[in-house]
Amino acid sequence: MPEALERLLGDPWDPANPLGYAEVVAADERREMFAAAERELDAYGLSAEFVPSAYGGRLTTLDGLVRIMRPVWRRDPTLGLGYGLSSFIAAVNVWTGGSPDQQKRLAEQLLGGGRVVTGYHELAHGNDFARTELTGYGRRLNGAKEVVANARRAESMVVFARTSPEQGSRSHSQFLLSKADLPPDRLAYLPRFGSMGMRGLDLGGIVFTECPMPADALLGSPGEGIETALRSFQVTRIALPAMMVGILDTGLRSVLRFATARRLYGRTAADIPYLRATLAGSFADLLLCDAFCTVAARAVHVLPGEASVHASLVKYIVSKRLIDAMDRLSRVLGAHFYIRQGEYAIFQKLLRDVSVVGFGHAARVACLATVLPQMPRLARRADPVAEGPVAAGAVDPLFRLGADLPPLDFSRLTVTSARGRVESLSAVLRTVAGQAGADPELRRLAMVFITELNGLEADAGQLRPRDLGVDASPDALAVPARFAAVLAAGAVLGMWWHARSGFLADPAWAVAALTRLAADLGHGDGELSGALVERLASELVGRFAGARAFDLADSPVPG
Amino acid sequence: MDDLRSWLTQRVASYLGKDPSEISPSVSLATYGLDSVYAFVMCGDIEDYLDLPIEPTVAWDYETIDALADHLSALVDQR
Repeated sequence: MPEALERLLGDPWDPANPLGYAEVVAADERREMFAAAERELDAYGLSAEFVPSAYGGRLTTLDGLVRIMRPVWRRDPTLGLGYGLSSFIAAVNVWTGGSPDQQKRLAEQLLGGGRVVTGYHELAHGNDFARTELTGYGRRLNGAKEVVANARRAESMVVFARTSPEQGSRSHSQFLLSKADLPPDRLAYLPRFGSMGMRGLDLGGIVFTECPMPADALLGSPGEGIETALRSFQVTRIALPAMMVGILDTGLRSVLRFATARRLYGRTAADIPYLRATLAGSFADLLLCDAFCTVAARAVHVLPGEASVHASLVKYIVSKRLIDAMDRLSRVLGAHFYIRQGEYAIFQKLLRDVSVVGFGHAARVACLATVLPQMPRLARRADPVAEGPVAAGAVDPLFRLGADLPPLDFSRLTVTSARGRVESLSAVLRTVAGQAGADPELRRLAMVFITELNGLEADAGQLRPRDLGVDASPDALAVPARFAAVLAAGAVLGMWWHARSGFLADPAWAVAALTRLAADLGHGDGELSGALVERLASELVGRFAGARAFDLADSPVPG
Repeated sequence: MDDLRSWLTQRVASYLGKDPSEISPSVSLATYGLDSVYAFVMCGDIEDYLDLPIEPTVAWDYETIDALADHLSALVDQR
């Protein structure tokens, strides 16, 4: 439960709390992991959250995992990545492509508090990891992965290596290795790169020299490396930005603390209209990010065939929203976003750490490049005049927080979206636009996205195969980028439509979120009306005063 | 089978902007510079053409037009 972790970590603003922000900042200044918090997470057994329940862990839903991890990211993103997410990114490859024996072995290590790391990327080749130079010919590893989180302290590794000199996509494999099984003299570490954020992370390189591997190290069949990686990305490209939404919660809370404590021109800063508009806009961004992440995470269970498109487009949309929102908030903090000490010093750390979401695990443009080749098919298969609920009942659990989901079945993930169908989120736009009872502004905005979708389908149909690869023009890449905004709008509308009561059932947040997304498509400037600013700002201030989270779940937090 | 082979040859030629006579059905598609992106595009075209669901990785596993045509004909026959 997220509440249990929040209680365990205590009030982050309390200067006497050894797990509070003062100590988070101090650990960052020392360029160390936050050791006291890691001990608490060890005691909690957090790594069990990354292990499927079939292997004795507590992982049942991706949405649930994200919500459990958000308090950790809300506290310290370095802890989020260094304690948790790096192990999860590696482990998903084993849950997706490993044998039952390998899965059992890794589960035991993680349940015992161990860590596992992954190395796909090499510095010289960026996101083009098929060019990897590390080789695994004849069960021997040769080469280096230069930037690996937890390189030194992990007990296990999933290593991506070239295993055939042939061109094509069957020339790479992944290996699950325990360091204890490798001769120590064939493994060396490279020094850490200095980094702007995540300064405490155990970030380093691993070099293999004629390093022999045990016979049971290969994940899956020879040549399945790229396939397993691409399938695994569909889980992890959602998990990373979804967890990082917690950073914006703390960013907003820092500004609210600052603005309610500070008196300017005879009133509190929180009453200044510009500041209220900035807070309301960033709150709308947080809600739309959470809606898209939540629906995509739940869709991995319900519609795993659509996950390839959802995951890359979530990473694309949410990463930029989070970075931009933190950047805007930094401006209302004035000098306090720049100062590395005192009550608000956590903000400058978060501002540096959040940048990772833009390039970490997959660059934003690489996410567009993943979806671009699928766009012509999506255009061909979708029916722009299709009306009504396309299997509406089947997709309802996507939009209902806490509704039962089918099990997370890693074996159903495929490298591209099956049959080119990604209709669950666009269908909901049409449903809402056709509802006479819906808020008129919401219906108008829904129509903006339906019109965009129809235009998009026409544009995608014009793409030629040579427009779809690495030479894709910015115009071609704009097609999946626009599609991302349409899907995010569908997620927001679906969450609103299925909400029964409370703030989520109020059209205000959905109108605000769609107003922000419409600006991505060139419709309006994304600024919220005065009435919307007041509705969102008063909800935000109410949650702040009542110590509740700013995301869709609205759960209690210790501060 | 020959129809399928010549259709595949035409598709590959069109991806590359070449004349079908320049494409040999026994040469690996990667040799022509057709990467994983084209493999996905080709899968979509094949599914539409044959109206048959195929694995998105089919062009990774059958690397020449001949091999692909053999595999796809077998799938069509099983239908």
